[in-house]
Amino acid sequence: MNTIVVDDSVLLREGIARVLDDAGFAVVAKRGDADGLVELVDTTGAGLVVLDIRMPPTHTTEGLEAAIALRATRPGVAVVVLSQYIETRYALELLADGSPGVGYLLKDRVAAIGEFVDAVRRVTAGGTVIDPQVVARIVARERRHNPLDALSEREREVLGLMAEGRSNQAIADRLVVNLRTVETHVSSLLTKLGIPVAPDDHRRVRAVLLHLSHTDRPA
Amino acid sequence: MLAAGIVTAAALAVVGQFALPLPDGVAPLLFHLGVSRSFARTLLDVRSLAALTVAVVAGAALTVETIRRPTRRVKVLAAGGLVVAGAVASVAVAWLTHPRAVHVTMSAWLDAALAVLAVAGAVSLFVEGLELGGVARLVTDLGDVDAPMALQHSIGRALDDPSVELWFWSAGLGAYVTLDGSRGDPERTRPGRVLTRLSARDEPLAVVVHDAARDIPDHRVAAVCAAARMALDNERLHAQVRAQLADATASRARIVVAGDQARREIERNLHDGTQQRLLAVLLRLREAEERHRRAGERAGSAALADEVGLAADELAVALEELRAIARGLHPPALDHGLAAALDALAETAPLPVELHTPADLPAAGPEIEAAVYFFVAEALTNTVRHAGATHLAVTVERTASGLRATAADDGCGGAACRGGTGLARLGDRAAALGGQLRVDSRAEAGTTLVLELPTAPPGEATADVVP
Repeated sequence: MNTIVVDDSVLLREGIARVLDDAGFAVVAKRGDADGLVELVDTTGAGLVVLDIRMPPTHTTEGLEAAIALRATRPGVAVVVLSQYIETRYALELLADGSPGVGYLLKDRVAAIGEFVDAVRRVTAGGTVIDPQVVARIVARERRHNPLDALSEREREVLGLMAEGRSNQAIADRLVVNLRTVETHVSSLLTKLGIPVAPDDHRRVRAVLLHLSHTDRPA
Repeated sequence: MLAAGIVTAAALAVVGQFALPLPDGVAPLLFHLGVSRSFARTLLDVRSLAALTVAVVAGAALTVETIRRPTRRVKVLAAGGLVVAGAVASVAVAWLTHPRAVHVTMSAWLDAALAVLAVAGAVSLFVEGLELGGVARLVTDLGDVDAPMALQHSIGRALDDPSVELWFWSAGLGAYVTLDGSRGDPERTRPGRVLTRLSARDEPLAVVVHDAARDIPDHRVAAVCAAARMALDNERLHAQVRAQLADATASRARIVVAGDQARREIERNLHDGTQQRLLAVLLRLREAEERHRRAGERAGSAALADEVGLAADELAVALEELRAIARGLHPPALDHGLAAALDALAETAPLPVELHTPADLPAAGPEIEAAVYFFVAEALTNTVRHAGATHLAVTVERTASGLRATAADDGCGGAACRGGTGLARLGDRAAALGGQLRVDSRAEAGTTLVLELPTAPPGEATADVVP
């Protein structure tokens, strides 16, 4: 799959490109900023874009905005956004438009080569991936009236994996239980939390994250 | 003074006309003394001469006045012209009709002129008396001056000019300042404004700027200022202090802003430079570790992989620490706005944090948002460390002039639970930005911290004022 890597640090750009090349992704372009990204995707026929959130000129959220714009105009292209810091808001913004094939990973994840490559593969396969540390932070947030207290230990584990974007089968493999068990846990916790059943995994991730991040914030 | 003199002479001359003709006995007396008839007649003429002299002197004085006070020129010349024309006309008529009576007509006209002068002088004395009465009122007023602009208003009332400006010389700042601390340059001339300089002890004290069109006489300004001198000196000192205070406040605010910007710079350098570089090194180490593990069962290879792996682990920890430091310097979420930054704080807090922030939070400068963020962070730290609370409630709301942030916990309260230097630093920062920090900590009732900040920092409010 043709891949574009965008990062304003040369060292990291090269490093990420190396890792992806080794994993079988053909890196066709490397850039230091997000200008003209859509045109570049068209000319290179890229199916995957990996980019950092912080980009010139202001080094705040240029990458995030470029990613959102790209997904709006070229929904078939898989996008993985890397961030040095966990910011739940960024994850929610990325998920907002509702189409799958998107990932939000901590930049440090790149150094955990196996996990990084696995996450990228899941995104190119049409999945939605949220970095486990991002999910952990949202799930572990201290709340006065914590709805998560109503969940069993196992249900909380399943919730976390759902929020990371994993499918029921993937969760079953991870927890070494059978699929039927996972499905039971899923419907049980969705009911307890009052989250409606979502038509697909991507919307499920979004629903869970939205629900979790809105607790403790009165309207 | 001049008016008084003219009035006296004129009055004497007019009255003198009735005093002389000489009493009946004097003329024979004069004859007995050998004074001739012609000399007696000359005496009468002397009276006329005296009257004439007074008139001339008065005319000269008025002429000098009109030269000094151009706006009166037209009125005086018109009046003088009328009198002269009238005199010439009547003399001409008298000469033509009653040649012998010319002398009498001239005398009569002189008397008329002197009478007019006397009345005018009396009126002017009366008006001056009223004006000086105004000065007397000022002196009483000055006893009541306690608000800064009151002195300027009192002087304006005494001079009958509400547009009066008082500027004090501040040696410390090397400039003139107004009563509310603004700096400026009153000596720059403007049309229609007159400057009167006052000095004390050979040093410039103040300037009074008033309206030229009102034609206030210098002696009146001087009288007013003499009466107000002590109050002026006092106000001068106050004005100086206020200007210095405004300067100091503005500079404190600038220091806070500079500090925030410096920290942001450091965070950015850490992120863009150091952290990226270290991450790239970590990546290489992990790649090397993988390669050596995949290189098969050779003992050396596995051991090398372990070594490299350990190094990579240490580096990963260092990176994590570096990230925490950078976030402490300048939370990256602040780039996304205050609400986002507070969200991030709440997410990782070790106790529940309830956030109440309005959707329409007013836009504030970065130093204001940073101040609120650090306030909440400090409140959280104190609550966690001391209070034994179950949660912290954070509210940010608009006020008439800016923002108010409240952090309330349900902990043990009381002095024992209050934070130390962190709160003092916050208080300093708040004061420097023109706001204030309040602590309300009662035993068994928890601690509430309130931060109020204006959204327009003080440094921008007092720009140099050019009148």
